[in-house]
Amino acid sequence: MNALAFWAIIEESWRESWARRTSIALALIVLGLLLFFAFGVGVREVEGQPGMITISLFGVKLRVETLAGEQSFVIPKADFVQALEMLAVGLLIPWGILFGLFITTGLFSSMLVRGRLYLLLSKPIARWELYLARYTGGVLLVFVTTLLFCVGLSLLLWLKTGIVDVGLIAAGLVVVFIFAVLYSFATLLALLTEGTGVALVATLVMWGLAGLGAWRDSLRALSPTLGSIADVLYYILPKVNDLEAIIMRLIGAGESSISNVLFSLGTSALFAGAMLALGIYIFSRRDY
Amino acid sequence: MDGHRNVVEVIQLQKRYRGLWGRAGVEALKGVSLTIAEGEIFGLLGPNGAGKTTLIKILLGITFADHGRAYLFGQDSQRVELRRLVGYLPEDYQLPEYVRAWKALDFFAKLYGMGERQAQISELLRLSGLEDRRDSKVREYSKGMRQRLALAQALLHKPKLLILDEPTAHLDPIGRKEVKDLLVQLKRDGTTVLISSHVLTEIERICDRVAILHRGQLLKEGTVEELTQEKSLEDVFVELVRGAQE
Repeated sequence: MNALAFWAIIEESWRESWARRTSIALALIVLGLLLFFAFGVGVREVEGQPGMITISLFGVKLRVETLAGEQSFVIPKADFVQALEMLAVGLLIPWGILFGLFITTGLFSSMLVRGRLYLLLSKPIARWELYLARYTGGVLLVFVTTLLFCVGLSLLLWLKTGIVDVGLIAAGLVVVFIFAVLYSFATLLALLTEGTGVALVATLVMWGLAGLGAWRDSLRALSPTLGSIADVLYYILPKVNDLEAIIMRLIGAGESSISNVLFSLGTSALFAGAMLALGIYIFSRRDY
Repeated sequence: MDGHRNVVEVIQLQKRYRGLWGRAGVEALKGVSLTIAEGEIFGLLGPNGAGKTTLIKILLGITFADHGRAYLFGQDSQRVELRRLVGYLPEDYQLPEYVRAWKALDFFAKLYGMGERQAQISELLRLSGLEDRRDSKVREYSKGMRQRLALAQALLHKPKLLILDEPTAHLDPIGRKEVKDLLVQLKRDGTTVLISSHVLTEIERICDRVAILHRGQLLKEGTVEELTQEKSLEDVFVELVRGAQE
């Protein structure tokens, strides 16, 4: 394996993404959200009520109407942390993943432009390495951005509330995993269609179909055939709903048994592995 | 080292491009065989669609042959490691536009697995006349400057075999002369060169041997002296191609 070349391809993916300004936009969005939380959201402990806080937005205290009249909005610290973590996860799924797919699928298909590919294929780097390096470059780009967001937000939550919670960071890693699984499918489609548009749409359709797994029982109640189709889709496609449930559990907002966790992670990883293997197989045998 | 060792050897190479849904497409190569000895400058001639680029792509593992064999340095040309010995300038290339010239060369040097790169990059930028513009982004380069940079990326790792597809396209007369001089210098240093070009006078002046391809078939192969005993290379070329069309 040509390790220097492998890393050069990853580096190049990042440089190209930077040049296209898409990763700058992503970094700015993350930075903007963190700055908003750092300077826009104020948290103050309520005197005489340990563990309870009031919240202010840009210095204006949040208030609620009660039977006794308007009062400061008071909430347990732990609930505030969890609410913000849920909000962060809500931003990452689907918006973070969607944006990530949009950026990285374009990066992958740009490698397949003929004149560019000729220069790459004529170098001492195997096609499987080239494919995998470009894929890894995309995943790492999303990994770094997601980690920056989750670590930054967790740090800010600790500074503001004193609560140390690494659940959001762990949830961020699962978000990156979901992205990596979807991206393996997007790269295969980008390879087959040599474009970004169809690959992105097909990936979104696949994501939607994979989500049907959560509605298997309801669909079976409607029609046994629909139920069977949902079953097949559930076992073939990545378990995005289960993975989202794992994320909710990590931030303390849901339940998910260990066997579910391993089954969902394992079968989704298998799906990603199969998509990558198929992509590499086709790429290695294709004439350019 | 044996001075007459074959650097390139293709035997009965056949290639047909498939159409949509596997339908029979264009037959690009119809059993082409040729050899290129070490230290030679070999010219590949032929009109558009003759199969020159397909032959080159098969040698580099960019395209796969249906039948026949292709060897580089006596080994199967599909071996990835062999590309450490080969430099390639495609006819249609796309350099990374968003990086500075030296950074583009640094990227390609890494692909060749070169550890120490900076001295060689500086030397090639100097040889290409791009030293003053080393920090300019590739997108700011003219066509001619890009062509020089593309040629430089093929020479980075001091290849033993240099494959050039239309190397003087986009170059002005001075640039063409410089490329010609560079090829002569490379030959002196023992580099084998396979050059595909439409510019027959260029081929006639610098090549030791030439092969004329037409519609995937090898019409003629020999030294420039053998082919041009009675007529110029241009006349021989036109006569052969017209003869094959009739």
